[in-house]
Amino acid sequence: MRSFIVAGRVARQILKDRRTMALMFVAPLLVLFLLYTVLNTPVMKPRITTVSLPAEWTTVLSQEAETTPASDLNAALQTLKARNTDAVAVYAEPNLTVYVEGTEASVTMSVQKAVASATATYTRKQTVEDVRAQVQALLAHASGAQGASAASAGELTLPQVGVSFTYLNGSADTSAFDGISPLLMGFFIFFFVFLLAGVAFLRERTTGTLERLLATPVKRCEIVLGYFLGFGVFVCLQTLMVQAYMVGLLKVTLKGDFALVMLINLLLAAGSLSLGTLLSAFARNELQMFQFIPIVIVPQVLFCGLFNLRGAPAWVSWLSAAFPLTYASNALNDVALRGLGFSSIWPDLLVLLGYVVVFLVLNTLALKKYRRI
Amino acid sequence: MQAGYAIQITGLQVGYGRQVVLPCLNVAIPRGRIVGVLGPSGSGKTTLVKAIMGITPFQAGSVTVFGQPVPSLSAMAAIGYMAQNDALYDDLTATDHLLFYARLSGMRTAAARVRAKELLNFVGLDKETGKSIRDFSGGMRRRLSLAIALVNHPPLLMLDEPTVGIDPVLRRKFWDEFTALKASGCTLLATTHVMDEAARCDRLLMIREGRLIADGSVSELLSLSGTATLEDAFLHFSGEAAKECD
Repeated sequence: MRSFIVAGRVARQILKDRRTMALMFVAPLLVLFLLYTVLNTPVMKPRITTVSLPAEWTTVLSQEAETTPASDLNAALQTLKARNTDAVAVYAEPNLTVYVEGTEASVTMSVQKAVASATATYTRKQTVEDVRAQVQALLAHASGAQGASAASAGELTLPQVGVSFTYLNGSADTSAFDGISPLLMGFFIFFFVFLLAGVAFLRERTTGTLERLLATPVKRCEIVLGYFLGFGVFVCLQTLMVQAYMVGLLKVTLKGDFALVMLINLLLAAGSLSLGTLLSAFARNELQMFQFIPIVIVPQVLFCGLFNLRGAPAWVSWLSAAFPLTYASNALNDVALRGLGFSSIWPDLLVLLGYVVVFLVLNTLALKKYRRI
Repeated sequence: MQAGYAIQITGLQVGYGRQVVLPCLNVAIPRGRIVGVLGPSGSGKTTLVKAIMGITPFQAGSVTVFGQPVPSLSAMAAIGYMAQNDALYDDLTATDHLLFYARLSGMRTAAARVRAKELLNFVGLDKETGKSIRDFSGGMRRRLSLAIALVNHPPLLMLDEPTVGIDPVLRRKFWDEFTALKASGCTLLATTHVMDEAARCDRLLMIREGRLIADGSVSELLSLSGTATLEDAFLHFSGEAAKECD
């Protein structure tokens, strides 16, 4: 059968492409390991700052969350704004008001769960103690003990606690999608720009047009910058379109400035463009360019803030800190979900700009493979 | 005198990884000649051209173009290059290509337009200005590649298999053009494995397995080998021992 002849040729070709062979087996294991790490991260205990919460209640809450007592509500709320705590629980009899930041659905849910569980346990204990006190009072009255009276037994009243949640950002209706939508916007821009730029620049290499260009008296850095600007025009248009579509039609949460979100997305796209063109130097064909997805894209998505990794191993934080998408994700969440301005996100923007510069310089160096000057 | 040569190559060694393509090459090419590099496929002709262009790093030796060291931007500015694979942008037109390379060589837009028009006439593509390259035939692509190589009035033209894949009529036209360019003072270095083309060169460098096995005019090589055809001469020199590198 001729199919076997074709199959034999395909197998021989794949066997000779060592990188495809390696990635065929290593990439799935790597992605599975990263997913395992993310999904196996222990369920985090929320950090709750308590103000005027009865000691017994605080003790019960401590079993569900990391509690820190505070005396001043305003100071506690500042801590919450700085995201050094996940919630502030303030008790003013008979109401418990819980302030949450509100942009991370998983954090809000864990706070709600901890407060509900602790409140139920506390009120149950209080009820048992009240009943016990009433029964003892009644028994004392019945045995005619000195000083005991029926009046002290009184009427049994169950403790009534009203729990309400106040959101600094977002609301009770904030869904998981709302919480990750700015990040998704950044991811899609990053992903598409990376692939298109990488494949386009790879084509310049494989068709010989890059080498032909290097045969002209043009500096390597001029070539790299030229490609960057040429692709950049279309990357800007693509970024504008994706952002306008997500904000205008999909109604993705945008509390902050549209232009500032655009600036973040453009810097992210510029980083992705320069990274894509850089990595195309290490690919011989389109297939090898696509093989970078599990190595370069997937870890960034898993570790950029999509999942809460507070309880993850230290290496996860190091890896996360090395990814451009992490900084874009931080900045996008700050502007889109929290309504913060340039003064809050400039360090993230600076890091993104740094990545663009570093990748462009590396691109110029990678062209040394063809021409030393 | 070194500056008297268009190209001076001393102890050139080029390789890719562990494979040595040109072990040691010494050659000097005077100005205003057509020099043919003759050798079978895989003998190192294209590697030699790329090394002279400065787009293939070499491990040892030196190359100068009109006295300028290679690789250098000044040496590149003096060279017009016709690559073996046409390396054209399929979605652009012939005019787009010529304007692009003319502007890269430092011409202003108006001058680049004039030059593009001249060259399209020269290579007979003046009726095809609106066509995308993807609709060009193989011969049209080669003609455009030649026009691109000439865009900056280069004193040295490097032609890597310039007539491969084109019909005999166009091949003859190309060689007439090369002769005309030589008459205008241009130096041409053309690789080929077609013997009748090689016969039109002023001087031939015969290469086998990266080694220069013979160097001289057609008549000198025929006389030295005692053969009647260049093909026989090539086989004769191939049989001799390779020259030793210093």
